[in-house]
Amino acid sequence: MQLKAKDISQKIYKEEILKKISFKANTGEIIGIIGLNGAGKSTLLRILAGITEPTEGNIEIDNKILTLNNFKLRRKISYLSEEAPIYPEMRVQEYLSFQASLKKIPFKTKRKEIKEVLSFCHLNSIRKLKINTLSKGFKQRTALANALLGKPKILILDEPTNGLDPHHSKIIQEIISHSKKENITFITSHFLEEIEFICDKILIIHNGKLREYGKKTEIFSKIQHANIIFLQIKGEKEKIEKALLKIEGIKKISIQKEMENEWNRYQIIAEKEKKMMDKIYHLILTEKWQIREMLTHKPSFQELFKESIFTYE
Amino acid sequence: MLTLYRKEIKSFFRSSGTWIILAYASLMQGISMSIGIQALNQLKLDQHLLYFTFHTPIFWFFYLFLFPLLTMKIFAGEEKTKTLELLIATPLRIHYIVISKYLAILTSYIILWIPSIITLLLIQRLNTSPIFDLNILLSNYGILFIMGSFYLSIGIFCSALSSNIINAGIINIGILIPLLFSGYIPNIWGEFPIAELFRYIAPQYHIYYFSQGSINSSSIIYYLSGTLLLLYLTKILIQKRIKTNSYI
Repeated sequence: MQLKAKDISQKIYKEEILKKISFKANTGEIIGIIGLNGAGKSTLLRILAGITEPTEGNIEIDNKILTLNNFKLRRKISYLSEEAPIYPEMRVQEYLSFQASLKKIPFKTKRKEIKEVLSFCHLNSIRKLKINTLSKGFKQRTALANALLGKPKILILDEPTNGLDPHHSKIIQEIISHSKKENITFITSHFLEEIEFICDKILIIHNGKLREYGKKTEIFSKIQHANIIFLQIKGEKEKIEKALLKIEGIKKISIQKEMENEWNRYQIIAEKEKKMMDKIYHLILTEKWQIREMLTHKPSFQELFKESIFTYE
Repeated sequence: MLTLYRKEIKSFFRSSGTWIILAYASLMQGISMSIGIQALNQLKLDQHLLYFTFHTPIFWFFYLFLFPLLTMKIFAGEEKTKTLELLIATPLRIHYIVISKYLAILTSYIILWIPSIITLLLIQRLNTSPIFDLNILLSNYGILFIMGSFYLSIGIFCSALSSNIINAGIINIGILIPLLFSGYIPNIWGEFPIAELFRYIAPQYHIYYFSQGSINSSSIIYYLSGTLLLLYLTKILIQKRIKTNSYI
């Protein structure tokens, strides 16, 4: 199955929430949608879920256009919104049965499917409990079980691990990863480590515009504009700084930590260049500086995102 | 649609608030009925018990608050628990959601009147001479049903209008007060060019005919068309709110 978003724009009153967003996704891919609050992530998810129609452009699923009234196509999509909506007065199994009826899952397969999702989401032990007695983690898993009910071809999850402890987050991440073979999964999260861990592709939205879309590794190398190098050298700091700044590609030097006997730890921000470490090492040898540490810092996705988001302004 | 209807009915009777409403309705119906019996005995007027019952101030007080109590949670409550999004995300047409919820609440409204019908039938049976005939009972409860259908649709509309349950209830009362009591304005201010319209809007005018055992088709059309219009407006309103993201 292939999903194509073609020039999606969304205007609410006079405000343009999404601006000409286009991308493609295929079965087996988990796409992490990231952006700051108000970037348009949830609006995009609602359009992908077929709950709202874009003011311009369209979503094509296997060359069929997704509209509000295309219920045949909408049945292939499952959407879990941020708040994990569930009826508190219902029991877990009863809730899933109610949802299965709404999703028009045939009576013959309904029981089997409910049993499958209960076991897939590790909910068997609590299936007879009332939802309002469950912890947030179990509630979220119940909501996720509902999202997986009916074997959706497109799974849309809006911050599924929001507010959960690491244990429950991990379980949910595993459930999402295990279900990916059968569907296209879109997921938003403010925990970028989570996106880094489970997603195959990343889509960055900023101010309603698509800024980056592609494979995780491609995006990381694209948004990593600089190298951060840490260096511990003994010597006069002004002299060292001056010499280092003469190396082509070094943008900024700062002392990260002042130490004893003229030893200092420097943080160097340099251009992304393979031979940068060689150049620095060569300088150290020629100047005969004493060195205790020299390492490149691999920035986390969180750091990269924080750094890159301001370049989109 | 049937699934959603069944779920709504189940939720209604699972809620402790429902039993409070039921107790409140039974108590108020009982009080207004006993006032009606007293008035009928003292004044010896040529009117029916049901006419008196449905004309006591306490009855209108009860009737005014019944609709917000029944309907204010319908959409505003779902919005609070974010479960409306869940329904919207399922491949269900919006008008199915509106109609299912409306029919469920209409069923609950009908159930609220059962105790008073049982009481009246008991009074009738215990009395040596019949105090009303069955046609009058049917036409009286018929108009209560038709009127109720209309006022419930107003309640549902108000519930979709606000995401806050209390606000939805207050808006509903704000709309119901002029609708229920506009008939008294000509009595206070005297006759004026559109006085008849004020009387027509108010339920007392319609109840009068039905309490005599006669059926007034214009009343049925008035309430039925109002109901359909409000349910349609509710659907439009929900669609609009989904589109403008105000359910998020």
